[in-house]
Amino acid sequence: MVYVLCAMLLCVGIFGLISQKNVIKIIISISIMENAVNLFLVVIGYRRDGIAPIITERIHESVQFAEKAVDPLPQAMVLTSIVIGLGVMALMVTMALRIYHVYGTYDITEILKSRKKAE
Amino acid sequence: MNNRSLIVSRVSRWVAPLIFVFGIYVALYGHLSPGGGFPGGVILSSAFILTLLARGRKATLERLPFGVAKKLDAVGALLFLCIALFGLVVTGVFFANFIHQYLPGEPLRLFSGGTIMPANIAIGLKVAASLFLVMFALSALRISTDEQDEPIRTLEDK
Amino acid sequence: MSVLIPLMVAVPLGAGFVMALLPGSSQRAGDLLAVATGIFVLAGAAALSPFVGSYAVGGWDPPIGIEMSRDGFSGLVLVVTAIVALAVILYATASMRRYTSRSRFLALVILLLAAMNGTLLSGDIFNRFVFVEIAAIASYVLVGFACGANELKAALKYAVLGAVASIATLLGIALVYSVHGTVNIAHLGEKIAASGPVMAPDSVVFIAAVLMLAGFTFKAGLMPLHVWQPDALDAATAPASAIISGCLVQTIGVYAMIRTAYAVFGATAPIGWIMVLVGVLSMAGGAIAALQQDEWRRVVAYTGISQLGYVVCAFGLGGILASAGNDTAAALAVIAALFHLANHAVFQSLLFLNGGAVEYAGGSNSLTKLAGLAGVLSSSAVPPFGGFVSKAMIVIAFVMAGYYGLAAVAVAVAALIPLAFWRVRSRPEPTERTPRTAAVPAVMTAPLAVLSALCLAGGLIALPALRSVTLEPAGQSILRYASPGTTTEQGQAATLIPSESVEQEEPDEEPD
Repeated sequence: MVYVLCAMLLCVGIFGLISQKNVIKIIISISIMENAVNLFLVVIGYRRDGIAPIITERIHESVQFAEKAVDPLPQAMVLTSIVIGLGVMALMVTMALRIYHVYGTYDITEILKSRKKAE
Repeated sequence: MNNRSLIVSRVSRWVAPLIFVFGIYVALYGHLSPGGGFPGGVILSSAFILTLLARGRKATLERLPFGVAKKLDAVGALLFLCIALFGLVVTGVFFANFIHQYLPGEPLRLFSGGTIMPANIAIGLKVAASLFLVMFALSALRISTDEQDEPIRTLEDK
Repeated sequence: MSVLIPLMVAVPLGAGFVMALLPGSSQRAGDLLAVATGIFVLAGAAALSPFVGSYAVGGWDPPIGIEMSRDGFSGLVLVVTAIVALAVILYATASMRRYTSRSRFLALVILLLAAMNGTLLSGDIFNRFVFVEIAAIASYVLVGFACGANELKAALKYAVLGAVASIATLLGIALVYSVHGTVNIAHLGEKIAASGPVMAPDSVVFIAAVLMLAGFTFKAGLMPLHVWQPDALDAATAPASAIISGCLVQTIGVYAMIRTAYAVFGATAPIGWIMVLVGVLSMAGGAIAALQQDEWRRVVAYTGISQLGYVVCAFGLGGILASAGNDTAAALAVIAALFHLANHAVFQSLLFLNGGAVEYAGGSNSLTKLAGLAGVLSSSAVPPFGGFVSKAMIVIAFVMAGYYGLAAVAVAVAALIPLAFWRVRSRPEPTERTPRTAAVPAVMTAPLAVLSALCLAGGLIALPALRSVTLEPAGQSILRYASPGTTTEQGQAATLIPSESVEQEEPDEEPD
């Protein structure tokens, strides 16, 4: 069920990427796609009635802990990919703003059409 | 951007320090509870971002000058690298947990886990500073378009 | 010795951050630091060359901990990358004087170098993905560094498409992890090989393989997904183009692709055919597109795509042949591909740096003419140059394997590339960029001279004595994984690269 949600989210992102002309909206679509993949990664590690993979005072039995805890590795990977996504996103937004300064528009087709040379 | 709401700016004065302290908590207790360097750093920087949004760039720069943030950014990263290199120097393995061997600490207490906590602090510093810088740079770009009032729209006519 | 492996990443990374700490006035110190880092990486890459093995980061052993490993393949690319990167750094200390923040440019180049070393040395697919992303982010910034209209446009295009490509790669990693529950390359390769010799085209793992290969195809700028490359290389400054076209594209693109295809998915026939398809498409398409360009840099960019097409095609064929049990031809194909990869890095970076030097000086002088000629001749496979020997080896591998059609395409395309260069022969001259005359400083000409010499001497690597220390270990480390997996004898046969068969072909190359 959640897998279907991930796929839908991914499709929404792809649709946005293809159909939108505004650079900012394209960047938002990319972020939606990224989150779909991140969600998928988290869901992989999930197990029914699982507990957080953190040792607290209540859990001492390590065997029982390993049986019940969800897989922490995808969570670490998701955290990393979120950080990467954040970096790329910040960079793309900055570029989009600079492009707005230079070209005066956010419309990707107009930006690609105009053959403006560097001042 | 001069018509800032008084309520927002007053409340942000109160809330920002609380967010800041919460960020420090999340970063410090990363090895014991959900959280860690990255979330802690994000929360830390969000204190400054709140100030930036609510009270403008000038008030923010009084709290955290741009140059200091830049320095903190690089220092945080270098600190993290130094922790890894100390592991190499002390035990001969890169990123080895060199503190834990000698000072194991008591599990589930703040001072446990060896290098994890210093690493979290370094990451927190790095993330807080760099996120703040990102937001600040974006705000600088944005405000400069506002000041011109009439953005460069000459090209759009074509 | 193995301690050098993490240091290859840590030292450039640290140097990059120290450079960010330096005050804006001390550009000189930044230059020195950057050059020192470049020399350290080159020395480290050379010192590592006898070492084959892995390094457990933090003392946690591989299937659980993070592994970094070095073998022949990564070692070869490591050395080539270090040479090109050092040349680019030296060149940039002089050529970037015209920009205000030279040390930031150098810091980015060093960060890129750290990330590329990490890509080459990391032993699990997720860490490789992370390093690829770091390299990609650094390269987005390098492309848009000058912040002019064209640079920004190219950089945004590159960044947006690159983000989509990395999402595809990440989805592939997620799918593989969901099936096999590990990201360690060696461990994963065993599990995938154990799960079945040939993958069904509708299995989850196959979809994951296609997604990951698509992501790396984008990063390599190969043909169906190449759109970013000519624009980015045209818009970026000369040293940035040189490092992107010479190092980045081959480390985070081709290397990551080959490693994934061979070590993770075992280079079975379907995956091999995908690579051959991509290779032929880029080989032919790149050369044909190069013929239609009127600008020097675009020609260089498109011919670069064509050259990498040869490489990927030969690698793909190597996988097909190895899974069919034809180890002799597979070994030749893989070695030829490696050889061409190394030559490609040298002549491609030379061509971009040289074009930049001509622009800098406002006209060509005798040295830039010579260096440009060396690059062009190597790129268009004229006999004594390295590019010729490696390309001839690829063609011979195609013929030996019995794929005469591929060989014919390869020869035809090789004839198109000099034509493309001939069409723009007078164009490395600046048209609209900085039309001022200046003497080219020695720091800029020295890398050009060294790279030209390497272009000329590149063919010597094919000599048996040199080949046995450079290309053959690399080929072995690749083909180790490409056994059919059904019988162990064949797997062992694949590791023994029959050098005598390659030597038989040696005399044939000269009359070609």
